[in-house]
Amino acid sequence: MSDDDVLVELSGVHKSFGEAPETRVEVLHGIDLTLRRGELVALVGPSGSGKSTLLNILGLLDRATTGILRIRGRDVSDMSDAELTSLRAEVLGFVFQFHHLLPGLTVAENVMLPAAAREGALAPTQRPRAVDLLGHVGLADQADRYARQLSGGMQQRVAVVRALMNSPLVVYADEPTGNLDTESSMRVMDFLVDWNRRERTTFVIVTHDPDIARRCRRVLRMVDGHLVADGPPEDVLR
Amino acid sequence: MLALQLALRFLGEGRTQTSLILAGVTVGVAAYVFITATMLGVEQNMVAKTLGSQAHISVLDEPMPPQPLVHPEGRLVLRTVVQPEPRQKPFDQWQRALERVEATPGVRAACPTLAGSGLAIRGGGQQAIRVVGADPTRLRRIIDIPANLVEGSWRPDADQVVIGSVLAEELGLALGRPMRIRTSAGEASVRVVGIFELGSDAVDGQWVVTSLRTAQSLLGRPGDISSIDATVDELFAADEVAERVAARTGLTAESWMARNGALLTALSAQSQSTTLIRVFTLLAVAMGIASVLAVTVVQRRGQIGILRAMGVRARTILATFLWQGALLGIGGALLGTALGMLVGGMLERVVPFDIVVGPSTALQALAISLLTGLGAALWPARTAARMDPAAAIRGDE
Ligand SMILES: Nc1ncnc2c1ncn2[C@@H]1O[C@H](COP(=O)(O)OP(=O)(O)OP(=O)(O)O)[C@@H](O)[C@H]1O
Ligand SMILES: [Mg+2]
Repeated sequence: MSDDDVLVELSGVHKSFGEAPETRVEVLHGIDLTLRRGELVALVGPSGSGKSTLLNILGLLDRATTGILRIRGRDVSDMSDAELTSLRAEVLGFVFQFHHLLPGLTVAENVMLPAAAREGALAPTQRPRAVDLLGHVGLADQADRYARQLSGGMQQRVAVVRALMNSPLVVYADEPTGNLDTESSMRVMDFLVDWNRRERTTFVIVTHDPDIARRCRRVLRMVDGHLVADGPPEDVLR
Repeated sequence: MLALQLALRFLGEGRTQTSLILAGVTVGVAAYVFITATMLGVEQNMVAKTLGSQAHISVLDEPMPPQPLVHPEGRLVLRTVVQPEPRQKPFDQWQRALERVEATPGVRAACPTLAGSGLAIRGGGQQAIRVVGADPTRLRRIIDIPANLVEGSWRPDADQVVIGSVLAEELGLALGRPMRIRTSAGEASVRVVGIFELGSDAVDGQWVVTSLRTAQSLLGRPGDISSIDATVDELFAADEVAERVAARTGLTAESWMARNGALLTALSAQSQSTTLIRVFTLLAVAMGIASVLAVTVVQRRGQIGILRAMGVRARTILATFLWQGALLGIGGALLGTALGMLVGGMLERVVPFDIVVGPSTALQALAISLLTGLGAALWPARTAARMDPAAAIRGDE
């Protein structure tokens, strides 16, 4: 791989929460990480090790306390919140651990949201692609129902395809299969692996499930705010 | 656009909450509209009663009230006090004054009038009357006798009169009957050709309206008038117009507002207390909207976080909540105006005046309700827009 393929570079990133010195806790202790075009990465580690915190920083939702984050070579630390927001809309996709859909919107509208954010409105022209994406996870026939009418597992599958609406360069998925049974989890993974191969979209998938992690070509292990392992699954997962 | 779409879906989702607050805004706006319409009705009713038989402005041939002559530096140098002469002096060059009154901006119509007192003689009795002479076409634009005619005609020819209904009854006069009038200038006989009822006892019981020429001969003042009466375009601008007329003519111009100070004081006190009630009503509406929106901002933390993560700008989140306030304000204004009209229409049947919700009251309610909704949404909207997306998504707390 050439250096043109480098999308994201983290170097020496620390993250602390709290203002006062006595209540201040450091959650990330100097993370160095490079993500390239087309990588399929699993991020594993015990609860509370800082996986979601790292994802928020990578996803431009939170800022590092110290350290540098470059996206396509550009340092983001001096960008304004508005610039970060439009960069998110352009190049990033998200699947969240807890919140999935907006219950007052239809399923199709939920999937259209990233496009609506970019274009300034929900528009009928965005719908065909949304319905097409829903078809990949077997939910095309649910497009016009309200999101709140769907089961938790269905909602999570909708959230997965929503992250792909704008054809982002990188997708950060925080336990995208957390609410799914084994079979649905594997179907969602089949879809993501296939998408990764076809579109060369980079995925970072946080998971507790070794079977999911094993399907990624690169696995990162995080313990207590340190990246302690980075390599192919057969080396990291043992 | 996205903001409006999201606002509509948020309002549609929390249907119970939305209906309740919408009902609150509706009731508030209805109260506002109803109070405003009632206040206007009372005011119009009282003003109409007062002005049905009074000119908006009367111009009299009296010198301007004595004005102190003040030195430019503010020191009083000279003051002349001229005692007003006894009345009955002829109105000096009234045709020229009439032209100037008519040309004054704000004056809609003017009418030279000669009025004087006299007695109506009938059988053995006599009754005090007021002879009012004016050109009928001009007079109707000052005091609308034709609209209040009970019978007969309102255009008296020579030696014909139109009299008030109370006077007609007291004297037992019917249409076509002769009537003897005595004034300081002598006695004459006229014929009753019309009877009117303006709703004011003083007028209906005393006025004998005739042409200017007939009045001049009855009162023995050929070619003379006693005042130029005028109607203004803007009722409550009568004071200013009167000042302008006085300045242009050098005569005394008295407005209805100066003549009815007590009535105006009462009206303004009433209008102040209704303004206070309206402000409190709007405050209650605003606090209702603000508290509901503040609650939904907290409820939608996670959703706001998702929207921000998807690349929706903070500005759009701000606009989404402002739209919700605006939509609640507009919806409440439409429903509330309808409800206010309904209640007003029901009450109108039992009160002696009109409760009219005119287009201006409705538009005012819409504008004020919209602004109230926007104002109430401001703080919750800012909270939502400033929410840290990472914290909103974490879903803790
Ligand atoms: N805003 C915050 N303020 C204070 N502490 C925080 C904050 N956010 C996270 N933490 C702490 O940072 C640590 C890492 O949290 P994080 O959510 O990143 O862990 P995680 O690896 O995603 O865990 P899990 O697998 O349970 O999701 C935890 O100890 C958590 O309590
Ligand atoms: Mg987590």
